[in-house]
Amino acid sequence: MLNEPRQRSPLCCREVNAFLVAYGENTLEESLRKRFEEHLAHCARCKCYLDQYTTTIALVKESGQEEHPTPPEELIQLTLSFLREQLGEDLGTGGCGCR
Amino acid sequence: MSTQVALPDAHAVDSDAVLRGDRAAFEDLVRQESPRLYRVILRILHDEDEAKSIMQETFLQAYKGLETFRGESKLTTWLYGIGINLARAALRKRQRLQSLGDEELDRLQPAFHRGMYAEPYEPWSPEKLAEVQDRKSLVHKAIEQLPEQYRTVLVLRDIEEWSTEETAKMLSISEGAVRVRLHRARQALRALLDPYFKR
Repeated sequence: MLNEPRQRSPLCCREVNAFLVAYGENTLEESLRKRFEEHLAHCARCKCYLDQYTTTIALVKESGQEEHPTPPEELIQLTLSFLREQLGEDLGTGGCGCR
Repeated sequence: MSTQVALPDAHAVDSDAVLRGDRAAFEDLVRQESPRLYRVILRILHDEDEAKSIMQETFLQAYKGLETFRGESKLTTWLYGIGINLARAALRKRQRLQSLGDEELDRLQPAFHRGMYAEPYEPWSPEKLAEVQDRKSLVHKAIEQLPEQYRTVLVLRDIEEWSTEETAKMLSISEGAVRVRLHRARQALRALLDPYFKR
């Protein structure tokens, strides 16, 4: 990542790129955020890159929405049995898990 | 007053009791955290059998290491840190030949000339974005190409949606390092996906 850009001067594309994560996290300091957005307003390449960057993030999130099987209760029981065996202690019989 | 974390059904996990070595409390922790811990490990490893094994090892190491918990993070953050690091080690073992090398990852980062992007970018086609069959699988395969340290940060931040602070604690790296790896991972993915979505 870059050092702090020169105060008050317009940002260049490279600087805008370096702040993409912070911009997405909404952690850019106010005046820096304004300069960031001012640059985007007149730089087609940066705007296009930002669009692709945010689309990529959305695609990653979407890919994570696929169903991963929740471990069945038997896996939890197996885990408890495994722990009991390894530790030589009673971690509780588990039963239905209700109390 | 003990620290409690709510379980969805009946009773809360008593973290203080867990840290005292209370076995019933630890069982509550196993029940509460198994679903998400398993899912996170599975997202890193993409292998159900290995994920189950790593999950069990995680709880074992956590129970044995309770005395080492220093309270600098939440108990669950510490627990996930153990699981994630075990998963990462397993992934590194088998990923050596499969993932992109450092030079290849560098080539996927954008280039700049005199502060400006060195190449033009054209908007992606909305039609292609909608059309590409099995889009999730495509993205999945791209993520799998990422070297382990970048893939892990991407999973924790963009899929599991942990904060930068929590991710840094789990991985024992600085928040700055989390942001750098996340940025490089996202940029590499953008470049890998670009051929499929450009006009």
